[in-house]
Amino acid sequence: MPDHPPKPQDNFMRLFVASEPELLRYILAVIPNVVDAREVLQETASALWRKMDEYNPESPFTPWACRFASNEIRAFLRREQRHRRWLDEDLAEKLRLHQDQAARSPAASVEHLRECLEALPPAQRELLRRYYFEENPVQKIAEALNRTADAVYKTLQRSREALADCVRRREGRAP
Amino acid sequence: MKELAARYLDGTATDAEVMELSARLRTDPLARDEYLRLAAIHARLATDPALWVEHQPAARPLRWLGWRPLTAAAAIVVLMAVMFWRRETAPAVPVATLLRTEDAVWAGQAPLEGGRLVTGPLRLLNGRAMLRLDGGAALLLRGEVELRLDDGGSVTLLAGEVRAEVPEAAVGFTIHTPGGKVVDLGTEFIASVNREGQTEVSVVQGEVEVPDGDGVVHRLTTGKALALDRRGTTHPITARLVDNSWQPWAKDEKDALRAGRLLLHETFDYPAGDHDPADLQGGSGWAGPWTIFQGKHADQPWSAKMHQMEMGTFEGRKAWVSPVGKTRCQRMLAQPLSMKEDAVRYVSLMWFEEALPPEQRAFDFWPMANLMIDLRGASDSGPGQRVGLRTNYLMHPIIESGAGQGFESRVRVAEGRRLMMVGKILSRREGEDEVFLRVFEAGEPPGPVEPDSWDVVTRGLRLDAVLDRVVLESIGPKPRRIEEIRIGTTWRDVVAGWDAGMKLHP
Repeated sequence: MPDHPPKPQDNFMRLFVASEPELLRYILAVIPNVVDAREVLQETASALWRKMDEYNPESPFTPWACRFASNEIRAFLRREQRHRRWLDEDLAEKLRLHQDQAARSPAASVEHLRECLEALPPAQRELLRRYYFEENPVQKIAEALNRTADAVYKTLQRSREALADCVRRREGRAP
Repeated sequence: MKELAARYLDGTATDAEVMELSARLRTDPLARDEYLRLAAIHARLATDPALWVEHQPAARPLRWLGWRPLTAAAAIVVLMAVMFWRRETAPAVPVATLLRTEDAVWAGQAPLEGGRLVTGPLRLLNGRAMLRLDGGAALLLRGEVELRLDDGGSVTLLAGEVRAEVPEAAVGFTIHTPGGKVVDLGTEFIASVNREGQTEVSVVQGEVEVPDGDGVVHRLTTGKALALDRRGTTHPITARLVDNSWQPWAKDEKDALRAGRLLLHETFDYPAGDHDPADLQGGSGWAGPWTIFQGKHADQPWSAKMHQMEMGTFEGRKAWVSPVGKTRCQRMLAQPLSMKEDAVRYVSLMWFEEALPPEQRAFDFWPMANLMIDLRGASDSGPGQRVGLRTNYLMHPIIESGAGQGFESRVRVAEGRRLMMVGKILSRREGEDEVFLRVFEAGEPPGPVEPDSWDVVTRGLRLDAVLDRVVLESIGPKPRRIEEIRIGTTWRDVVAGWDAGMKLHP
C-alpha cells in the first residue's frame, strides 16, 4: 500500500543512475575532456530533473536523456566559446544514431576492452594508466618517462587505435 | 583522419583542425564510424577505473542507492551527490585559506586557522568560520553549513547559510546550489539552502545574478531577495537583514590580546638601563634568559655594549635599544616549533625604525644594515634549517631560509616610524612548506584576519627542522627600539593591539 501516488521524480534517480555511465561516455565522445564532460553531465542531470514530467515511462530513458545531454553539450560549447561550430544539430543527430547502434552490447565490449588492454605491451599500458587513471597531464608523463610530449601523444594515439582494432576483432568473433 | 581524431581527443587540435574534423564527420559515414570507435575507447578508458585495478574498486556512493524508487527528498540527496562527485577524480588542490574561527566544530578533522583548504567537502557543525577563496571572495559560515570548495572562484552550497563578501577583483564568484547558482557581480550577499534544497539569496549590497531553470537570468540589487527551489523555479521572498547575528565575530575582542594564547611573548618590560642578558628572563614561552649570540664575529669590536643590553622607555613603550653597529642575541624556546608537522604559526616583531638624516645617509652606507628575527634549529641541524624574517638596508621585506635561499619583496617600507613585521609559517608533514611576510607601518591597520596579499611569499621551501631558538640581529648605523616579539597560532593573537591610530612621528 503506497503512501503517495508515485511522482515522475521518484523514478528519476533510478533511471539516471542506470544510464549515467552511458550518458557520460556519450558526452565524452564529443567533449573529450573529463572535467568538462562531468560538468555537462551535471547540467544534464539538472535539466532532466526539471523536465521529468515530460518523460514517457514506456520509452527507453537513455536515448531520451541523450537528447538533453546533446543540448547541454551545445550550451557548454557556446558558453565556453570553444569550437562553437564543431557540433551542430545535424552532426549531433548523426553521432547519436551511430552511438545508439554501437551501444547494443556494451557489456561485451568492456570485457573485450579489458582483454585488449592486457594484451598491450606493458609500457603502453602504463602510459595509458598514467594518462587516464591517474589523470596526469601529458607534460608530466613525458617528464616522468623521460620522453617528449609529442612522443607521449603519439603513443596515446597508437594505443587507442590498437585497442579499437583489437576490440573490433574480438567483437567480430563473438557469437 | 586518425591523427585529427587523436588531436581532438587529447585536446591539442587547433580551431581549424576541429572544423576540418567536424566537416569530415558531417559528410563521411566511415569517418564518423572511425571517430566514434576511437572516442568510445577514450571514454571507456577515462571513466572505468575497474580497467586499471586487479580487483573491482568500491562502488561509488551513487550506486548504493541501487534500484529502489526514491522519494523526492532522497533524490535530492543523490542529486547533491552528483554535484559533489563532479570533480571526484580531480586531485585535491588548495584553493582557500581558513582565516578565522570562533567556537567552530567541524565534521571530521578540524582545519587549522590560517591553514589552506583544499577542493572538496567542508562541513561546519557549529560555531563560525571565515575563509577566503584564492580568487578573493570571503565567506562567513555560521551554524551548520555543508559546502564544497570547487575552485578559487566557486563553491557548491548544499545546506546552511553563508554570507559572501566579494571584492571587485573577485567578481564572477559563484555559489552553486541544488536549484541553480548565484553569480556575484561585486557585492555582499547571503545565500542559504534549506533541507528541502531551496535556495534563498539576499543582496546586502551590490548586485548578483541568479539564472532560473528556464534560462531567465534574474538580477538582484541591494535589498532584493529571491528563492529558487530545487527545480529551478523562482519565488519572491523578503530580503534578510544583516542583523547582529551576522556580525563576523560574536565576541567582540576589541583587539585585545587573549591571555595565555601566545606560544611566545617578549615585551622587553625591564627597568631602564644596561643589563646583563642573563638577568633578562621576562615574557612567556621562553627557556632561560637572553644571551649575546657568540657568532664568528663575536670577538670583533662591533659595539661598545656587546655584553650588555640597554632597556628604555619611549612614549610609554618599553623597548630594547639595539646599538649602532652589529648585535645578535639569542633566546631558547620552551616549546620548540617542529617544521615536520602540519601546523600554522604566526610571528610578529614590533619596533621603531629610526630614519637617518639625509646628510648622514650619504656617508653611512651600510649594505649589511638589517633587522632580522631568525627562528633556528639546533646548530647541528644544518645551515638551511631556519626561517629568517627581515628588512634590509633598502627597507625591503625579505624571507630567508636554507643555504642562501632568500625571497625579497619589491615593497619598500617607510623609516622614521613604528613598524610591525608579521610572518606566517605554514609547515607541512608532506610537501612544500610556505612562509609569508608582511610589514605594517604605524597607521596601517592589520585587520581582523590575515591580509589577502603579502609583501613576499616563499616558493619551493622544504624544511624539517625543529626550531628551538630566536635570534635577533640588528645591524646598521642607527639604534633601533625593539618593542615586542610574539609567536602564536592565529593572526589576531600576534597583531592584537597594534596601534593603528598612533601618530607617525613622535
